[in-house]
Amino acid sequence: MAVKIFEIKKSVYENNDREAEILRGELKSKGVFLLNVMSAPGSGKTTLLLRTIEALKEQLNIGVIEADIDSAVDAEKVAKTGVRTVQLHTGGMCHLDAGMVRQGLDNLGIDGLDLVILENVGNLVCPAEFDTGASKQMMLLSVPEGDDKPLKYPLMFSEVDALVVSKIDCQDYFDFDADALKDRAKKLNSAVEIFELSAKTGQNVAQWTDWLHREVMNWKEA
Amino acid sequence: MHEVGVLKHALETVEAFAQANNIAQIAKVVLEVGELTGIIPTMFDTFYPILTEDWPLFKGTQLEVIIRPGRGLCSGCRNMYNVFKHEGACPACKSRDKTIVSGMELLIKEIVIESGDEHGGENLRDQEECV
Repeated sequence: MAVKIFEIKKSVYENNDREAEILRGELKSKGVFLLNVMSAPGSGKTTLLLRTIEALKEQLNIGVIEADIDSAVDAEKVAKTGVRTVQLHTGGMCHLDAGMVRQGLDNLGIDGLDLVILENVGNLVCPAEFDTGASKQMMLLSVPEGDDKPLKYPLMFSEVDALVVSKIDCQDYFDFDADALKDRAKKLNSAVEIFELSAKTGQNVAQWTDWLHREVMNWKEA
Repeated sequence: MHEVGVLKHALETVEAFAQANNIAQIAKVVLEVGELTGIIPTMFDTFYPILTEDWPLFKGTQLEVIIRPGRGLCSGCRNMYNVFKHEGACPACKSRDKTIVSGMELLIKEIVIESGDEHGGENLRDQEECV
């Protein structure tokens, strides 16, 4: 049997990247800012999200997409704040791709929204590989996770626009070197904005929400 | 575990390519995977038959994974070394500062089809503009 070889030489992510680019364009034309939030499980994404909503809900119309492998516990917590919320189940997948995000946005209904916060699956590896169509990406790292994470998960730190270091109220109990973390993160990504805060006590949360508010307004104007 | 999702994306791209080029039957899919992508190639081998079981274009076909070494150029002493084997630090000067030269590839390299036409066995690699 004769054999033919078709050379393709395409990135595995090409389809997803294209879908993500289209989605980003659509969101831009509607003036909707999509924030992709990534972190390890248990870093406090939902707690920070509640704080962020509280700070910005008078100024911005906010929607939330919660993504988890299973359950709706996060979506139920967020829905109590009164913002529009949908829960996506990834059905065992460890990340969201642009197609899933589009479904989530369709279910949410984005008309009239200024900001949609996408709470990605808790994982520091896979979500960094897939462009979700987000306007900006934020990664949350909590103090108990340690300052060595940029060494272990370089891709995540290289991809994000903002790095939020959370749970700084418990810094005294952990050997967490904030300067070492910042050095390591900046080495991978010199443009990254770093915020150190406690979502529990509210310390420095305003620095983060001010940045986010500014980014949303820039997105809508530009 | 992300290998399932990544592989599915790859096969969707291949399927779109096959449709665009009127290819109905594939014998083999060849992927190029860099050592520094975080993909475990044996996971691709494990998931491929499961993922393609109900996917007519790929059912029963072969997957070949070519592994590309993760090489880095040390920013300190300009030594070129295998980043994967040395866990990110230069074996000569121990510095972690480096430029990644290879190993981030995650490509669909090519597909192989079996042609019934005995004279149709030419390699189409040089005719990329046709495909």
